[in-house]
Amino acid sequence: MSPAAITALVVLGFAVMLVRRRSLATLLVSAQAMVLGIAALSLARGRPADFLVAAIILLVRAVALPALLTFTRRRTPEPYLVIPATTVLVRLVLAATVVLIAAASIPPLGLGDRPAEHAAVALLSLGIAIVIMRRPALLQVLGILVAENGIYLLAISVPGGLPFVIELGVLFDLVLVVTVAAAFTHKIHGEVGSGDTDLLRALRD
Amino acid sequence: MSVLESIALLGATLLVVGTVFPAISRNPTVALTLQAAGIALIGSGGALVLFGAPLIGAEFRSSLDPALGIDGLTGFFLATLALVAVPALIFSRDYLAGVKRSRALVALCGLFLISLVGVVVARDPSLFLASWELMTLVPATAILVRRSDATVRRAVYVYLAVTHLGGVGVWICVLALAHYGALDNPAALAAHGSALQAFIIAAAIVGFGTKAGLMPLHSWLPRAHPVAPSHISALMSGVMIKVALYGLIRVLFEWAAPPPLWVGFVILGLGLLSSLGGVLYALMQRDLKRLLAFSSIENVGIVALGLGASILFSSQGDTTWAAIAFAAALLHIVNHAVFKTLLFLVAGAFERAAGSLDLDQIGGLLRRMPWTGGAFLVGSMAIAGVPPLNGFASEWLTLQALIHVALGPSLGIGVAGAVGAAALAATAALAVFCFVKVVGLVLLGPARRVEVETAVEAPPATRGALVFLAGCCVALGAIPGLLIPSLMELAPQPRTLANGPGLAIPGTGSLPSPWLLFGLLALTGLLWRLRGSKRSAPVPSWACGQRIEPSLSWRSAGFTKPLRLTLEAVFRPQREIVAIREHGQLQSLRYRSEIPHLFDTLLYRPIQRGALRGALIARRLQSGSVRAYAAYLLALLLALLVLARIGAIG
Amino acid sequence: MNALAGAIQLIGGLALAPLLPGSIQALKARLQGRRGPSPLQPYRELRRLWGKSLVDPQPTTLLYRLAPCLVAAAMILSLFLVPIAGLSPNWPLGNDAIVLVGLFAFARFALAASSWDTGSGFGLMGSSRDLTLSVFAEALLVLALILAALPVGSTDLVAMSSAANGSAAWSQPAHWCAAGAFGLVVLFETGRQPIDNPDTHLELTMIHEGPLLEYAGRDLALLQWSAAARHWIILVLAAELYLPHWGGFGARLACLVGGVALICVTLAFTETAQAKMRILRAPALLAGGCLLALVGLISWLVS
Repeated sequence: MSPAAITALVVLGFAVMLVRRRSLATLLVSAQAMVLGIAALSLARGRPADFLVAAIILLVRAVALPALLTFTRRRTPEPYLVIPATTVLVRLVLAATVVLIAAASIPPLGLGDRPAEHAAVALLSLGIAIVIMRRPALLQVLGILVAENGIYLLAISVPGGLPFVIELGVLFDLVLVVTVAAAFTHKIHGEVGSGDTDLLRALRD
Repeated sequence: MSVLESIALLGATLLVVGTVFPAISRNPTVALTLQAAGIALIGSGGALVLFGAPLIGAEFRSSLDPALGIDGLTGFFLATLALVAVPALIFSRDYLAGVKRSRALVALCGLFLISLVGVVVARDPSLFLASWELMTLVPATAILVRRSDATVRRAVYVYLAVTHLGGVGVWICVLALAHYGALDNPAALAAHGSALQAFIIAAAIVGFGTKAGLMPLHSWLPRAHPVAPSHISALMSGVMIKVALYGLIRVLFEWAAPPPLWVGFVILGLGLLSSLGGVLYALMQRDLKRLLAFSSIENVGIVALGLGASILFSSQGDTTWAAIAFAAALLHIVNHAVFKTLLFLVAGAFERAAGSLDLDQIGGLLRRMPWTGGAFLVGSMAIAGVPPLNGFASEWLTLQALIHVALGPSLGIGVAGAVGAAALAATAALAVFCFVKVVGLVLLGPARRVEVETAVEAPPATRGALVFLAGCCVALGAIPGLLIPSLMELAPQPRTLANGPGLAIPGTGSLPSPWLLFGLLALTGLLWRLRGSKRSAPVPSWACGQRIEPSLSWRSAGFTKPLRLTLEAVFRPQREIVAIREHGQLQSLRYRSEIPHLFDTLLYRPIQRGALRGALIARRLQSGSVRAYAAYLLALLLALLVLARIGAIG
Repeated sequence: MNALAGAIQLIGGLALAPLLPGSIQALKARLQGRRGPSPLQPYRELRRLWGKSLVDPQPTTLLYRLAPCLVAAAMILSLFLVPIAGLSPNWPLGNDAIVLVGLFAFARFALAASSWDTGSGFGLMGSSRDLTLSVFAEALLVLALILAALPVGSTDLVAMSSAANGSAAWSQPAHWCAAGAFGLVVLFETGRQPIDNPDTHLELTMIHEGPLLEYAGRDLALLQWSAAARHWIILVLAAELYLPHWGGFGARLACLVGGVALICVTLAFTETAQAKMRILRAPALLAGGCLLALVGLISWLVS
């Protein structure tokens, strides 16, 4: 995979961590999936079946899911600004630390593409870090998508590709997760009037 | 593509079309007909493979690429499935008429059949496990679509929880076998030592045993089977638990073969516990469907006795008897499928007609519903294991296998065989006891409920389906010998045995079942002629001159009382008598008695309490914040990465 | 020889069976110092009943009226299975011991169902006790049959009977245990004290008589003959498998007659000397028999 694409993926991931607006973050994740999808398509050139599967995955990840999230965002307008848990600078430093630790400690996975392995684990940890550090429900869903993109990056880096069952199964899972999350975002918004997940703590016990 | 493959494919297509058909049409008849035609075609394809046609489709593979195929064992299970599914589908047409959400139930029934077919035709782990999970979930959905009150929700919850916990065993076993490449190459496992084999077999026994309802892993079965719609109950008891046995057979006799000796003892022990325990608890039930569910546990136990005997024989090198015991187990699988489906379907028809399944409140249905009642009588006699019906044939063969285990030279194996044979004999006697009770309380005697007086016979299509199943009970009882050679071919070391329609097995006095049937019919007819020359006078029952009071009539509890008293130590019945007094005078007496399910009180409840206590401790980790959970996740990920980096794991 | 054995199987079973309970009753009366009925009394009863008209209690179904025929048919079929003096012609029914157990279960099912049909408490009381004891008795019967099958490795009654021929079998402790265990089966299946009392119709004690109470006329005749046939089958089986016999057909036939007579005398003595047991104690007795049989099996497998 080309170094430019890998760089783009990681940079887009960091950007999701930093931006404030939910619409912009959705666009960034969509762009990330697009980059990843095009990389997958170029890797699958010459294998029509793999190419078809990659195209389906690209459409779902880069178009359908972001569209679903945009739809959800439109239905859940925030009445006032959700105050971020931390400032931008703190988020950047923490995210960079996590990503560096993860990337430094990953053992060789034997894919033959060391930068892709690093990028994958970086995106995975970055995605989880986004869920930890962002409070709006929609941004947490986007964090999951970033982490998923990291896993997909690993999957397409496997020489010869993975069996269709697994790829399509993971895609099905992802669609299910995002659909459920979108529905819950809507519900949460209806209950507490905001997508701020920290408000949910009061529901415990 | 061969003719056989086209038959199977056409069948599969029809089945799928029949399943999605309710989405586009309100008419259930077309959908059910399509499903029935589809499953019949698939079943006949399976039967052809069983009786010697070449294999269809792929062989087993350890990779995850989906593949389908039919070999002899699969063919046997497909034929069994079709034999009972077609009558169940025909039955469900009248049964679902006027029921709410019947379209969803028709579609779910088709999906259930697809998942059952899927498990047995899957030739790779992914399809097998996917169908397996579907097979668990679809009946749960069907139950909830039909009824969703609190008790039913609770039953479904227990069903899903127990089968999923147990199902872990299936996943472990199948994925481990795939990992070591043992699905397509049975020798692959042998290279990795006996500890791995023991682990896989233990996982298989837990996983498949839970789904098959082997005691003590059975606790979901008597809860879930009674609450499902009757045709789904019939498929669950008749086929689904057999499909679990299919998995167990594949593991024990093919993928992880040859099993070590201890496996034979374990399977024999589980079979003994299930058969005796199942029928003892069945005897004490008052709800007909719950009773039938416990009786399914008993019959799974009998199959397990046959399988255990087969393993013990092959460990002693007696391949002929190993094949006979294996065939006995398979024969009991098809026999039980036939009569248990029949009984569950009739239970559904009775529930419609009499408005209750409480055994103490039905009575006298044979006079009102001669066809349905007659079919029920045949099914009850078959499941009670009396000659000349099919239940006797397979129990006879299993008992012979156990007796020949007992005759063997080794002390441990011999005593195990003798204990197993004695237990099976006691089980058969208890099954007679149990089903005489059922026949007496449901079909015979005075009506105990006003609805019975006005009960009407089931519609013709239902009647036809039930009579067909009853006919299968008679036919399979008359000519079991025609099946035995094909079933013995399926054993790990196939043996052939010249056989007629009866069972002429060396080392036995032979069971000439057609002659037995003929003899009983002819002699009964002859005696009937001799007796019937005098006209009989209708009189009230004499009862030694006592008046027969309806309130004093015998019920389930009274009939089983001698056994309950004899086995008080086993049943531990609880009685409670409350006397309500006012002004020093006795106003009323309340009496309650209950047979607690000992497995629940002694085994499951302590486990449940322990789990809840553990959960209370684990709850401290629960902050309620999504972000804290994600932080745990990230910490775990980083810790694992660091550990991998320094070489502690991986 | 085979034809003679076949004739005795059938004619003897059909015609001589009532003689067995009759002679036990007569002997018992003598032992108790009474004159008692003649050994031929059961034949007179059967003739009397055969001439009487039938009753048809209401509400019953066809099953109730068929039950006596079904029971008697099962007993007649059982007659063909039991060899006489180690021989049985090649009837198409085979000679399997377990089929015999099955036919007895069939008869039990039919009779118990008939007692549900009238709904009379006495019949049901008898059936429920019979079925309870049958659980233990069937296990015991199968264990005893296993012991008898040990020397030949087959449950073919003809082979088992030949294996018991001569004195060799008696050198094995297993055979002694088997004889003891089968003795208990005889007590249960023939309905004799201390397990059942054939003389009373008291509700506290009766087992096998209970389900017969509602029947009359030919139905009752068939059922009484069936009870006698059950005596014949079990006693002949006991003599063939578990009592000593030697030599060729003639000698064995004499041994068989002697053996059956011996069992009849023993039963009469037991009935005179032994009081009836509490019904709930009987399962313990039968379970003790199972233990005895298992000890026998272990002694065989060890040696």
